[in-house]
Amino acid sequence: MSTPGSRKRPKGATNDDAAAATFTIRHQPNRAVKRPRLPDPVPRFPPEIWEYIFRYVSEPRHLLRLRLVCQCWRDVIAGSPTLMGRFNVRLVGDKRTNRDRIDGAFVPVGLPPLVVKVTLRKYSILTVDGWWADVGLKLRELRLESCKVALGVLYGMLRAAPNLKVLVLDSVRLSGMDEPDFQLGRMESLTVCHASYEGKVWRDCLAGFERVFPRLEELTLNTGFDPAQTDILHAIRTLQATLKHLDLPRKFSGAAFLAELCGMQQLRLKSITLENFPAEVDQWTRFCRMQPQLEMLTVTVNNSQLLTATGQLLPRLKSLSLTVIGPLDTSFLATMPALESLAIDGQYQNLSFHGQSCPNLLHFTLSDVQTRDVLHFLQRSPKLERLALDDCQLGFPVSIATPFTNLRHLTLNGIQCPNAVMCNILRNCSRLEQLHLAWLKYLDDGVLLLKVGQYPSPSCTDSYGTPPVTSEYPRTVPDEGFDARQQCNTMVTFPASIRIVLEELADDSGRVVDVFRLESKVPGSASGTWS
Amino acid sequence: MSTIKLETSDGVKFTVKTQVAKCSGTIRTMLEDIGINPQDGEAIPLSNVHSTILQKILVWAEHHVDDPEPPRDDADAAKRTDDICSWDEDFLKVDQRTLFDVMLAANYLDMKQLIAVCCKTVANMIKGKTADQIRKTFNIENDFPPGDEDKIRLRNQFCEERR
Repeated sequence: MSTPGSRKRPKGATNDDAAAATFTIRHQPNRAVKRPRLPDPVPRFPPEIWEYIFRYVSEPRHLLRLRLVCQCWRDVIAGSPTLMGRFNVRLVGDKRTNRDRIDGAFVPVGLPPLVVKVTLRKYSILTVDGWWADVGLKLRELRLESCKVALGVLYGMLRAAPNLKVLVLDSVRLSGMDEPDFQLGRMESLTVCHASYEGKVWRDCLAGFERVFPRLEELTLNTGFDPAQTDILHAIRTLQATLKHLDLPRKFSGAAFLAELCGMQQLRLKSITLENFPAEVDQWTRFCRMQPQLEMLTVTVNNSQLLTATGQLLPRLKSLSLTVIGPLDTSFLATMPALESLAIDGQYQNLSFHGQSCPNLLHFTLSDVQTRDVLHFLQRSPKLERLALDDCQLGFPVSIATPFTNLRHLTLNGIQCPNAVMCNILRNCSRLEQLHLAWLKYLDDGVLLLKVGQYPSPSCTDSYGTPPVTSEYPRTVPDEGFDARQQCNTMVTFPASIRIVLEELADDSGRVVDVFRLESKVPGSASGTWS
Repeated sequence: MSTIKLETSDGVKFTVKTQVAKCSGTIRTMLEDIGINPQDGEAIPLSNVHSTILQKILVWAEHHVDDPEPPRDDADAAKRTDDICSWDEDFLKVDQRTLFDVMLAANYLDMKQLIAVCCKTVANMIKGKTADQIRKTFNIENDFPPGDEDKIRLRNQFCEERR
């Protein structure tokens, strides 16, 4: 703080205690408080305020960049469990250099002390003595990807991770047998996908998991994990008091399986993934009545009648993901007014949304559908924040009467619509934070120039965080030194001779601008800048 | 209408509605827990707050005095920065030094909502900038020993976020 009297005294204030009158508060917008220049305030900012500010920097690549600013900022991030919890730190084995074994001599280079989410990839895990004790104690999330590990070693790792909440075993080769004698009471989520088990007797493996994770809320078992239905049902029955989310291989969603679930009195699911609805309406009705808490449903559907029944039976339904394998009447939407997330994979069906509305919709994804009226339908969803249209044929002409005032994320991938329609869409999305354009056959410079000129926010070019278009697109968060141009060329590809280049530059005044340059293979192409 | 007096670091005294002053957790604690009696006529000393900044903060408190209690937030969740109301946006269109002083004072006065809106404003100044641009914006010295920055860059490559 400055010495007393070094600043201009506000009008109406006085040093005289007796004369102190009620100070009139007057708002003076846009007027900076004028006073003598003080020393730079940044160095005396307490670290906890910086930490609090950094919590609002949600993009991980931005947060990573902050570590490069100065030692204080680096230490603030490294010392904050909250901020470190945003990162999943990955250790990757390298077979070519014989660094693919985690054994007694293993030293985890580059693991920050406060890391709470760790991924081990491409390792043979033989033992985790020593270093794991410190890491495991703080760990909340562990992912093993393409690793080989014996069940005994895995349980040893888990035993040293008493705070673990999430375990993912992805493409893991398990072996051996072991009977764990401990529990992880905080474990909430277990995912096993593309796993193989040398012992083949999945019952043994599942029995161990049931014992170690007594309070599991989320169970995801995917391709490759191939236990018998009775084993899965045994696991669900054991965990029924806490289980809320169930995502199982497709073969486990038949009528007999649902009937078994109906018999579990304590089971109260919030989400379930089903291959098909059961053939009988009565059976589905019984299941819905047993599971009134269901909020998320993923299902392959060829029966609109069952969807209508679903809406009536599950008033809390917020998220619906459909794969449509036959003609679908969208009138079921009228029975689901609380719906916040809707995804439809139409398998190249014609779909009409005429007269329908989802007033609370936040996220909408439409894939492989021919439709004439989806944009009109979305006009009746004023809260819409995220919209993805993949490989859809939109009817045109399309005119949008009401702007998408809350739309932040827009993905248009493989949409066959003329430039006028594209212009119309972009013109009505004024608050975009992410725009992901790919495989737009008719897109031309004119459309993009419209976009370039329209959005003042530099973050409009931000394409990260959206799913990759090509398999080469890296999952890593790029550092400051990464080549944005290269990444974007990989990600946004336009067959019609145009590519988008994203660059970050500073303008004359030192302010960062994003340059959205259109390059054509034809000389003399258009280019534009927005700041 | 009940009022209390506040005295800033530069000796300036403000008479403020008690209800407005209680937007500050620090003052609320002084009044309710420590038992300072505002009727005594003695001013509560705010030794870390300059009068120009307190004046500005009182404007904010007066405007937000009837705001409902904010919901408890989840510290681990990434927070939005695009929900600053237009009045606050206008209020914080000040020079950077004033913004930081308001923030420091809000921290001292324990005014969570004001701290939050200041943090969002600063976070918006940070987003999308390179490390070098951030240093320039906030006049921060690059104090890394040679080579350390490259090490961090390398380690950054091993971090990724899963949403």
